[in-house]
Amino acid sequence: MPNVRYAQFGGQEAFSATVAIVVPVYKHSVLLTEAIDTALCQEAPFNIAVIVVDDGCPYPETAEVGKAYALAHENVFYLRKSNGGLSSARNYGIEFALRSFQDLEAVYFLDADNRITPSAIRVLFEYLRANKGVDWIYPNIDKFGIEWNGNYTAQYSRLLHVTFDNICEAGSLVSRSLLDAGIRFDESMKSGFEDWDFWLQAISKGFKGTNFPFFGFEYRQRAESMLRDSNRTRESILGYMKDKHKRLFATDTLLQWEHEETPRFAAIGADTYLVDLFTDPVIAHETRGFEEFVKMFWAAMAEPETFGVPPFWLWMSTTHRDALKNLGLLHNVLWLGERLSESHHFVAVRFESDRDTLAIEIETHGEGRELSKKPLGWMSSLSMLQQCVEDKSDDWVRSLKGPNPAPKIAEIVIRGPFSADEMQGTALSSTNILLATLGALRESGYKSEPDKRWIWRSAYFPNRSKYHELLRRAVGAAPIMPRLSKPDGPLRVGLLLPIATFGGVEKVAYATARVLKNAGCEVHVFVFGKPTYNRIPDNDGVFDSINFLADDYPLWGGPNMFSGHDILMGHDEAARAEEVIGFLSGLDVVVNNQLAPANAIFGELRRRGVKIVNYVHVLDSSEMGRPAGHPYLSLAYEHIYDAVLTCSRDMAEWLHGMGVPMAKLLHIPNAPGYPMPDKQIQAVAELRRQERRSNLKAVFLGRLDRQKGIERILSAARELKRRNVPVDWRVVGSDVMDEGAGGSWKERFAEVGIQVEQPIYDSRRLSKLLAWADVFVLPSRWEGAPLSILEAQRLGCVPIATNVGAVSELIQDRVDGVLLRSEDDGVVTHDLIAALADLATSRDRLRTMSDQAMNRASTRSWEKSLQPFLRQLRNWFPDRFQSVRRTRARISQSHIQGVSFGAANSEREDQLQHPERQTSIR
Amino acid sequence: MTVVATRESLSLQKSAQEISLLKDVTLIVAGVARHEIPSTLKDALKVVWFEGVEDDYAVFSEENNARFVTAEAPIMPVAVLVNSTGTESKDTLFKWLQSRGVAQHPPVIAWGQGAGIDAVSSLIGVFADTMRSGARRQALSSNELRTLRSLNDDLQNRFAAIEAYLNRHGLQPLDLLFSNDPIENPLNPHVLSSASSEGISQVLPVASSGVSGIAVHVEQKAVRPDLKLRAQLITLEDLRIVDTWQVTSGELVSGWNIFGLSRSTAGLRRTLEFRLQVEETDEELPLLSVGGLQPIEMFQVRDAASGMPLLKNSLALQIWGGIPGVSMPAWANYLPALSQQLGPEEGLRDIPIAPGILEHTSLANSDEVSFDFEAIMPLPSEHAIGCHPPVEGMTIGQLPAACPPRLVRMSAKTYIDNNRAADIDFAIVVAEDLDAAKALFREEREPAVGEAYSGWTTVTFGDTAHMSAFAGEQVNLWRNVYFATRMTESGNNDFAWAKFANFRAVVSG
Repeated sequence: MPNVRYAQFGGQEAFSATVAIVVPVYKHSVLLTEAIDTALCQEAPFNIAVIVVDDGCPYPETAEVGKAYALAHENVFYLRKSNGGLSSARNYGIEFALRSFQDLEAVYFLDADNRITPSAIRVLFEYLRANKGVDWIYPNIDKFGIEWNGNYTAQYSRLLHVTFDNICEAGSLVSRSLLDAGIRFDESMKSGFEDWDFWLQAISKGFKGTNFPFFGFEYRQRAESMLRDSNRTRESILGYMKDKHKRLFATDTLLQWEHEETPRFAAIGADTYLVDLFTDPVIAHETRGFEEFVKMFWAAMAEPETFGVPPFWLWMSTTHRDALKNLGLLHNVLWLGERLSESHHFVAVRFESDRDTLAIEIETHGEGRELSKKPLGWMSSLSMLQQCVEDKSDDWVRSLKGPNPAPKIAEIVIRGPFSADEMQGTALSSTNILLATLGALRESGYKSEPDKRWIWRSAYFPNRSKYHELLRRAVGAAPIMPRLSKPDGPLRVGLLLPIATFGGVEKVAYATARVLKNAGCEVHVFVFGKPTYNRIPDNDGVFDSINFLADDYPLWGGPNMFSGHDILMGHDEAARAEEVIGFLSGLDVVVNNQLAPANAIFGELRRRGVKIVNYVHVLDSSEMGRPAGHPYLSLAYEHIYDAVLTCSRDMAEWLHGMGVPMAKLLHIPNAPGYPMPDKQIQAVAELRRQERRSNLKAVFLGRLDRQKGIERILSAARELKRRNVPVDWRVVGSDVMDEGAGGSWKERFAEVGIQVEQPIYDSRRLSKLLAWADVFVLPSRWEGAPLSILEAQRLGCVPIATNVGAVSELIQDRVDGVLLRSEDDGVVTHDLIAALADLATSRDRLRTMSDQAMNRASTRSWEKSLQPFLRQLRNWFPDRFQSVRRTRARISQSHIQGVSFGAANSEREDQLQHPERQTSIR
Repeated sequence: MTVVATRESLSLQKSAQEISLLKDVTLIVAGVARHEIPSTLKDALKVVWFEGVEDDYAVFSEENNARFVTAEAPIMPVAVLVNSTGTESKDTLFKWLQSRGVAQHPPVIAWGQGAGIDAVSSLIGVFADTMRSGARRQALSSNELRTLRSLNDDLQNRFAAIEAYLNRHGLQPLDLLFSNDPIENPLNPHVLSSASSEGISQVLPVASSGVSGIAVHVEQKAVRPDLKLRAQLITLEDLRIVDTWQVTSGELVSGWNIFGLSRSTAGLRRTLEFRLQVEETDEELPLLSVGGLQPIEMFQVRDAASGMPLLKNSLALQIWGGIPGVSMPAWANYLPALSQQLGPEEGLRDIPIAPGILEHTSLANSDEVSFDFEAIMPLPSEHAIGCHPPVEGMTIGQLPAACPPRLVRMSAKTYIDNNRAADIDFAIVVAEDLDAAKALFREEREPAVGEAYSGWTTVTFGDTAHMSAFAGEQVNLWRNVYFATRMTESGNNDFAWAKFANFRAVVSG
């Protein structure tokens, strides 16, 4: 036998490991030894495998070092692969570890030029095991070479991680569960930030990380590194990640994280001394005791990058908060409070009782202006409060108690149907609570000297009390409406209105709201102009919220011109893109109801996944007869609409002819503007049948202005009176001073013995008026498809209207109404006189037309008209919009395809009634 | 019978053999029949036969014909032994190795009838080349080490020169890096009294680099001057003891007491924790001052055993930087570190056994005792383990691999948590296995190398015993910790709620 010491091969017991340290290496041949040695120095009561992955390094020394360690140490493995980049090398190591070690519980990524301390893996792994909700542990950044120590100890925040920077170094300990979920480094990312993407994948699958403050990770920083290269190409890489992880970057997601991690508002209960911390006040949130909150404040002051406190504070009793919540105004008030807190020292909140309106008024006080009544609540920003706390004297802030406060104050006055309880203050006023809060902060034992830092590592993170600014920057909106979406909750539809009074546009919007609500949507109303909503009982319970922009927002105009119309673009300052996008935050669908300037920001909303719907009603006319108005704006912004709703086929044809694709057009035939039970309609019909011969009763409802052809009515009334035709008139509407007409219409009607009555907004009184009248006159110069015609027809009141706009779609001449030729004033007046004279003398004809009018109106309902829109919503959101009532298709599929915008049902009705007419759209 | 291996079935068997190819020097054979390879060669190194490539995996077989697959290239194929029929097979192997990023192919050695000597000569040539290159690397490394030693000497000399200059001119740059002043509070809580026997700990708010002393403010001295206090400064990122102090209560003065480091801390910046422990006594302890309320929990003064805050305050403290021991403020009481008398390699580390490990405790001697309840019960909230003694004999619990290498002392606190219990004996052992532990508990022999035994201590309800098991010689291995209880007088073990808490290990190096 030769003198050879034989080795033992293939031992029976295979090596296994609880933790694997994956060391990717490329061109760090010498530094690699340091990394492996620190891995081998680990002191742990479990096996640790060291997996060196040579990513096709061209230096032979790398292989020599790797092989030497692998041969010398049972737990070192050297793997060689073709060059594929850092991601591919780490993934290679992960796969090897997962298939080779059955006991594997965690993997640590140690780049070949970095190091860890001997206790690191043991301590981290124990921490991972002991904290079930933790899936990865990341370090502070302790750099050597170019020495720097970065403090990353703030509580882990997904909001920060997604919107600020990659706060988790790749050198983290990762639990096996995360790898078993298929999370790997993106091998297409070769310019850096692959670790950031890795964590984003983890977040999107619900995993959570945490920092361990005494990690023992040492990062070698030299003058140049891949990370620095990646910072040069940061924007393009970030663009790739945003596209890849769309859901993580969505406003809804970020807002949810803000609520959970760094709530934007602290509401200090004036009655409870508890502090609610939330972004959305109606979603479950954390509540802290007051002392705990004071401690939180001082922690944030001492270490602002690590600890935070909400940036906006509210002092208000829960009763008052609940009152705002019940009216659907709470989010809006918080949003306004946030906006105003940034330009005022304090924001006062006061209620005024008003049964007929919901409204918000904003007034500025202080600095000389008196605060007339005591506020029920206060808001302010953290920066203001910090200054107050640091101020040695509290004289300035104590003046809030008096009528002439020294601070600059914005007052939000909320008008609404508040109960007596809700109007009452609390035993301890909100002003006193505010001052008590400041006193408690100022006198707290936790108060620390300014700039006395306890955490020795350098600050890197932004101020934790200002994460709302990160959120604002990330979504390009400020302030952001603090309204969260419920996961898989109902579809959220926002109806945008310039004003919320009793106009036809609002009525259509409200009718749409009722149908959407019945279909299971959340319906939010956004009023951009005068911040008042005239309450309509039919709408009670329909809106989930009412939101007033309450700013000096232009409702028309802009510095750019399109086809004779002044328009705004998104980048124009007047568009207030950030403010409006923030105001409309949290919606799935926006329905624009003739709000011109908002068009400027719809493109941005659409890019964020919001569906944009434009509702077009009427082609207006300029003073000199030029067609103008919202249909033209629709052409200017057509490319940003997902759908365009039109009240008439006529309008749909016009839009299509002007270039709007057919697929975007949805014809929603108008129906009566307010609901009415069949029983009441039948009762009116019965009354009409029993009615004895009397004077013809004629009514006009609407603005007394040029559009409505009011002077034509006056002429007709005067002429009929001269001819002694027996007509009883009622003219109901607001008197618009018309310079061209030479004074007040009220006075001029009085000259012919007709009293002009105040406008009627109450639907009950409106029905009563229409039930009284035999005919409804509307000799307008231009119209869309007036709801008033349908409302009149529903009660058997025969419409006599100019044949303009889509009026002919509502009236079949001499069958269920009378169409006046749309020519000059003389012709219209002549036709109107003739029609009234005819019906005044021919009661049978009147009765027949009345019956026909009722028949026609009975076929119209918003539920039916809006079916195409509901179907469209279901197509857009198949998972979230299941409750749409399916209506039986009455026409063939090919027909539907041909007129995809044209509501199938109404087309058929019109076809039945107008067999001779062909639509130009087919 | 032909077995067609699917990818799934292959993956089951591949791991162990794959790993063996990643750990051993291997001779790969292509084409040569098994009986042609001399058994002496097969004994000398690992020999595998290359069978081809399937689904991108290489298929090898062992001498006994057992086939296995591998995804990874063998770490060190010393050569490929090939005959005329194996040429094509060898090419396939090289192609596959290339696909795995292997840049340099192993040498090919021809094997044929009567060519054994030639092949062995070639193999020896390969090994000779390897030895030559190894020798070159060793020579290079020695040269690099010499250069580093020389650089280190140079640095030492330069530093010493600067040090001497600073001393001569009294220029020691001693700075107050941080001060948390004591608050005047007549209700000053007695922080040392509220702590467990492990004492208190305070995370310090400055980085380790350049720190030369930690000053603690004493509000009121202890009545007894001979109480023993032990202080330690620890770096938390690597759990190393920077310095240790052992002083008596008489050495403390009212006011600031500076615990001076043996040398100012250098190297990478780490987080420091200051620990202070007083030997257990019923006497009045020194009253330490505290600073204002601390809103950041990490910096509140804590119980060293549990890590939980004792107060909402930090200790009143000062942190000094610079070269220590030369020009501290005259008004300060300077206490030198113990490690000034020790060599630099004689540092000790005090490591608490993590609560997570306590959860892995189990009954070790179930062959001897049995209970109808959990006799060994982890109590994480108390950082303790319950160990219920039997009527006769002993209950032995184990903490697997809980004792770090180079153990000096394993300690724990023991007590009884039920006033109706009779007296109980407690003991701790560090050993490799249960048999060794039993022998020590039964006191059949003395502890061997790497073992530690505390001896038995009797505890009465209301008392607390601190038990320590000292290791004679250190070993570089993780060991099991065994702990045992028995009734002092055999018989009634009702309510015998015996508990071990706060296991800690002091290790050297």
